[in-house]
Amino acid sequence: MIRKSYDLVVVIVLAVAALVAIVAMDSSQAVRMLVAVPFFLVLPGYAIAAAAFLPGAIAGAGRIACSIGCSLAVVVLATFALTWTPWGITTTTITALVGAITLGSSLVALVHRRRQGDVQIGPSRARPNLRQGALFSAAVAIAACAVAVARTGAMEQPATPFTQLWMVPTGKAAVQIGICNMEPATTTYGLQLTIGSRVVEEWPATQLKPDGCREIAATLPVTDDFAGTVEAVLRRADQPGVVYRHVQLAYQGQKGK
Amino acid sequence: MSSNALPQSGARPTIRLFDDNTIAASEQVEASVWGWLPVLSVISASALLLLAVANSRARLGAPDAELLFWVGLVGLVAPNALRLFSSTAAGVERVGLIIILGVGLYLVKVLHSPVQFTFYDEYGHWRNVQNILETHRLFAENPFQPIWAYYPALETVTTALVGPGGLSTFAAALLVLGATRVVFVVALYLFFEEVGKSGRVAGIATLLYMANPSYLFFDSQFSYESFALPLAALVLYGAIARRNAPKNARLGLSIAVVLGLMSLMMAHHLTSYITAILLLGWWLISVMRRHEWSERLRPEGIVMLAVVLNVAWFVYISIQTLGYLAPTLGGGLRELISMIAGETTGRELFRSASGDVAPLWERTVGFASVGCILLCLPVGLYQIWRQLRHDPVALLLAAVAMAYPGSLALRLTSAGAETAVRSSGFLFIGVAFALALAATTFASSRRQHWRWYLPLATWAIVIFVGGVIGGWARWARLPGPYLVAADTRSVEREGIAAAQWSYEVLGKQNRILADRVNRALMTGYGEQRPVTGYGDHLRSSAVLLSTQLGSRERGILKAGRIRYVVADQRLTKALPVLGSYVERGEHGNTNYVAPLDPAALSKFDRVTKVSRVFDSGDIVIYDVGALVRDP
Repeated sequence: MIRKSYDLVVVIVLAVAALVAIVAMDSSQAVRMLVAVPFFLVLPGYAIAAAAFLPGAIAGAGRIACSIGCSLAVVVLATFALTWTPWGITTTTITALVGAITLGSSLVALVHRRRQGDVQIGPSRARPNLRQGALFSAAVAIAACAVAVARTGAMEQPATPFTQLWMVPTGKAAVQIGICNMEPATTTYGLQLTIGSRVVEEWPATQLKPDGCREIAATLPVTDDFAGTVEAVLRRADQPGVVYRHVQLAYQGQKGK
Repeated sequence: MSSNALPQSGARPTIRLFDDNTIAASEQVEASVWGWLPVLSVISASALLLLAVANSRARLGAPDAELLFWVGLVGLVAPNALRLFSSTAAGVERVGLIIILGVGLYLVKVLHSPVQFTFYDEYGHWRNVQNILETHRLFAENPFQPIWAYYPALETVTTALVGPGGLSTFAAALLVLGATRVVFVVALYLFFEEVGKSGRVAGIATLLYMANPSYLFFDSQFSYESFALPLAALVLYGAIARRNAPKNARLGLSIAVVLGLMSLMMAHHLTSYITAILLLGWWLISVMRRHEWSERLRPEGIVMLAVVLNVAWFVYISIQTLGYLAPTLGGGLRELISMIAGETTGRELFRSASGDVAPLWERTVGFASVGCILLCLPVGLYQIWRQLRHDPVALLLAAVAMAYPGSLALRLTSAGAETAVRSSGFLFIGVAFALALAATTFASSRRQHWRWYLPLATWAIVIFVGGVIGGWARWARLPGPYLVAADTRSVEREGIAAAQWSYEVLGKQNRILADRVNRALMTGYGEQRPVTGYGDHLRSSAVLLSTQLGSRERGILKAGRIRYVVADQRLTKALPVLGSYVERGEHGNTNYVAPLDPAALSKFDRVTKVSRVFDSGDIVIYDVGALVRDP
């Protein structure tokens, strides 16, 4: 039985391995990612096709379409079923349900094949020779290179440099101010916090590397019923006379901000 | 062996999936069934590399990028097309070529956006994924496009790879769409093979289907239709193959059809409805022509199931679909009628809303493409009548193909142009089949030299290139420097950073008002709750576009309970490429002639109760909560 149904044995082993990996491993582990993809996209459909088609009834292209297509459908319908359960759609429930469908279908297929007698279920008879295999491998490698080239180009795409300045209230008389440097070079900034025309606090030289951020917690010298505007003004050290960024909070008296 | 042939007594029948010559005993023959596939796979991969270079060059604004793009695209399609027209290719080779082409063309979109979502619709479906991961339920509100919450099939599979798989949403989406693309082209091939009784016709028809205007980009994006069409193809293949399938394949095909129909109902409204209509049409034609079923399996059961599933889903889950589809489908038709009546002028073809006109060669190829289809369509329809009129499915495909010229009229209208392009995904099932029959008439299988197929491959390339030109705007085919209100071309670092900041500092689900592109970014990266005209039934765009923050605008802010407004200063620097800054119809039915007045965005600085909480140069975020709380 195993000789003629080795494909189902592979399905069962992969499904069990995926179940163990998903339950036991951290989600950031590559192994979990590698086993999860066939577990959801191929194995359920393959097992169902194996159970539903009698031996020899389908091969090649039809099996590809049915395996992947039915896998997608199984995951969709399993998720739909889970949404009505008290547990909902979680890593555990969807993995368990899809795993159960896959293993159940595989077992049905094994029994099915055993009853059908000695029908050889083997790999496709159209195996590429060495030269053809080398060409296919080269094609995959070139396609992978293409994706790598495109990814590199996308990540290095020139973009307009910018600096973020933000200010949000954190209490009745306190604010949080943030500066993020998204410029290509280290930049020195001067920050001023004012209430009306009065400077209440100043940070004259804040140096930030590219992609560097600084957050400042500031306390405002105001009472709870303060009504007015608190403004933060950011200047670049190389252009001290120019307001580079500015943010402001409007306070509404008793109601606060 | 014909697929109609009955199995011999005692033999184990097999569905005809490949041409007979694919089954070979000796290793020599085994190797030959691959034919030119290994070499063509290398050529196709090399074309993809060229396309990758084109994309990278385009990001730098290089003028040669467009030429590289077209050379790469034609380099990907032409050699495979030439081989598919050949009568000597084996079944395995044809299926391999179809898979290479299908996946290769999908990779064209991946190469365009290889590190993040950049297509507008993708952000709304990303939101569905976030909702499922967060609520552990389906159907949570999707403010980006409310109706999408009721068709979450694509997102359920993506979520399975994100949660249990530990992949990022973007990586999971790429894998899911790649898998569906394989199903799509293979199922389509098998469907055409079942109807046309020829692997050659099936290969050519599948190739020509890929020339439909929405195939290359629109149906490759992370969107529900991209997921639904492959399921529809699987259902059609299963339903058609089932009718004459040997006994040992019927149960499997029936299960595939049922699973496909049930998940299709959850995947995409129109695709599901059209699939049901096609099945119904097949049955009706059969009844009208008093078709004698050669086997016991009749289609009534499948037709009934398709209709019941769609009606049930519509009534119990997605009744809002009607309000979503009716204006979209009716708008184009109304405009067409008023155009015929002389009340309005038609849309100018090959001209964008911002006035950009396609170059002469694109216009020429665009028209030539339609001409090639219209010229050969009657030949194909005649061939269907001559060779296959006994088959109700072939007649159904002929009827679908005959609807194509009608869809062209819609392209002349502003409201219907998008509908026309999108309908091609369905109409080309018939068009491609008819054209494939026409092509095989011109080059019979007796003519085996490749020179016989060269004119046909050229003809197919013209149709394909014309489809790309007609289906996707010139500025959107490649990435590049920032453009105003241009979806993929407007997604850049500053907007993404602002959205990420909103998530980290302001928290999720704040009700925000933003222009079209920042709305998408704020929904995806920021997980904010955008307030829109179509979702909230408010004329929210007026708040952003008016130069005054008067009582009307304040009323809208209050009605929408808007907390934050995103003002992108770049909107004031150019006309919107897509025709609108915020939402369709914001400027009546006319195009802008001048960029947005800077006063429209700076008005918030003049209102005392408004806080300016974020400033990154181009993007400013205002807190208007105090205005909303005002009595």
